[in-house]
Amino acid sequence: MKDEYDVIVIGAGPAGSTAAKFAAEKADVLVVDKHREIGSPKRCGEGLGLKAFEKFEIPLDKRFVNKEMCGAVVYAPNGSKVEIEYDGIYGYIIERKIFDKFLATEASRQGAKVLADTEASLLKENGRIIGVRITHQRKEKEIKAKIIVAADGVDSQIARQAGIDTTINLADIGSCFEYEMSGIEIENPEMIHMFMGNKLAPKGYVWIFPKDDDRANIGIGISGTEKRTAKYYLDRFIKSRPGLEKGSIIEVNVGCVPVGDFLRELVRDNLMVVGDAARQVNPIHGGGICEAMLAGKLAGIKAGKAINSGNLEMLKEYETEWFSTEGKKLEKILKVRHFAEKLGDEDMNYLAKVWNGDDLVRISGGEYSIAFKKIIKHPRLLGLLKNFV
Amino acid sequence: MKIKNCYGCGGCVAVCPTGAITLESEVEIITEKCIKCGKCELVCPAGLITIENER
Ligand SMILES: Cc1cc2nc3c(=O)[nH]c(=O)nc-3n(C[C@H](O)[C@H](O)[C@H](O)COP(=O)(O)OP(=O)(O)OC[C@H]3O[C@@H](n4cnc5c(N)ncnc54)[C@H](O)[C@@H]3O)c2cc1C
Ligand code: SF4
Ligand code: SF4
Repeated sequence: MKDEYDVIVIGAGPAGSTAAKFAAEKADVLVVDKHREIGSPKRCGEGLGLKAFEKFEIPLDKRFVNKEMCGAVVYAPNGSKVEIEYDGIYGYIIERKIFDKFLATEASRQGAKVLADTEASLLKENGRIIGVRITHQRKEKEIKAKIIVAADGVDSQIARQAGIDTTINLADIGSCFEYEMSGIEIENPEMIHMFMGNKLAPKGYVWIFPKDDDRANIGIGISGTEKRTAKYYLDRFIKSRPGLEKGSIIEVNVGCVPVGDFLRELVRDNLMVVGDAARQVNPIHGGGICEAMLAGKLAGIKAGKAINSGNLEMLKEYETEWFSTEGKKLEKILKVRHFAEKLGDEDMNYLAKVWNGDDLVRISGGEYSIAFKKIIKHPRLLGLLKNFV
Repeated sequence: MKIKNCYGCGGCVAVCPTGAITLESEVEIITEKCIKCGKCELVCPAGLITIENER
């Protein structure tokens, strides 16, 4: 390890490793992660859409691709289903622990230095960020850098240390609990399953993401404002289904995912914030792997260019470009979330009657005009829509 | 206050308005900074935190 790098990335999740890979094309990069094993604990349902595989040319490596997703079944509170079917494959259930290591390896192949078991905090001089202070295997060291990328996840301390207020409102965080279970019965394991309902999962949903025909990630995300815990609701769901109840628990995962207001200030001086740390997550389903990688790529490219040209002002372009592309799309999806949060169980049952799978796909991508036209005859939903626009 | 058996998910740290929580292998709530708003208690997916005298 050297005493100085062009770019230091803090956090080797999908955001950090991707940022490092792209920055390393032009700059000298160090990536650190406080965990002893990159990718572990997983804190993820492990669903990743085909789009991410295509955009990032991710190989279909058996070591991290568990199972194909051929579509999704969404269950209304009364049990009625809306099926989202695809002609081909919709995505894969991956193995995050191996996938995250793969991304870190890709960064190292591009020339970045990756270091696990290394916790970092910002190093400042006269108020300016000049690098990081790390603790690697109990030894402390100061390392200088021209640019810092904060890819340190939902509870980002690095951005806070730079003076950006990253505190998340309770209503804007999904509180999640998940079991990986084996020996269970899954009706149609080629599909992912999502269960809606205010009694089942307030302002959230229960998911079953199959990793085998008899093994799945079964998890829940609910609003942070909810009095009862995510674990309470998930245990109750599993208990009510004998095909799940009889199974074994092979892993327990606990996590929180930002599903609300996005961080606005993505760049301050020579620091960039990416991924969950910047709350770059799809607020409808809580998926953030692809978004983290997209932001990481954009930030990484800008960091490389800034180093190359010696002009750190360029870093701001990451913020403006994000909010005119992917960030803009997420903004629209957030509006849909605010609409969905107001739905009662009866509303959801009604929507399951009038909406089909295509409508749900469009809505979760932020294109809502067609689906919303279908509900203008429903007086209560129409009222909710008025607030919407 | 120290929370044992914490899963380290960082949810409580993310919502704490005063930065009163540090996360190492277990959660530690630094009481002088804590304003007892109860947000960490609500967000914890496993219900591990109990803040007394909630406002
Ligand atoms: C229960 C649950 C289920 C989910 N399911 C899905 C899903 O099915 N599909 C999907 O796309 N998304 C899902 N998500 C969201 C997804 O997991 C995140 O959006 C994604 O991991 C974000 O990547 P990231 O790189 O920004 O952050 P992370 O993956 O959280 O990585 C941050 C890294 O930073 C490190 N770090 C933090 N602080 C420091 C420090 N001071 N020094 C050094 N290292 C540090 C951490 O150790 C960590 O490895 C889920 C989230 C949860 C909680
Ligand atoms: S009660 Fe409020 S101030 Fe105190 S630790 Fe919890 S979130 Fe922070
Ligand atoms: S929210 Fe709960 S499980 Fe998560 S870090 Fe805080 S105390 Fe631990």
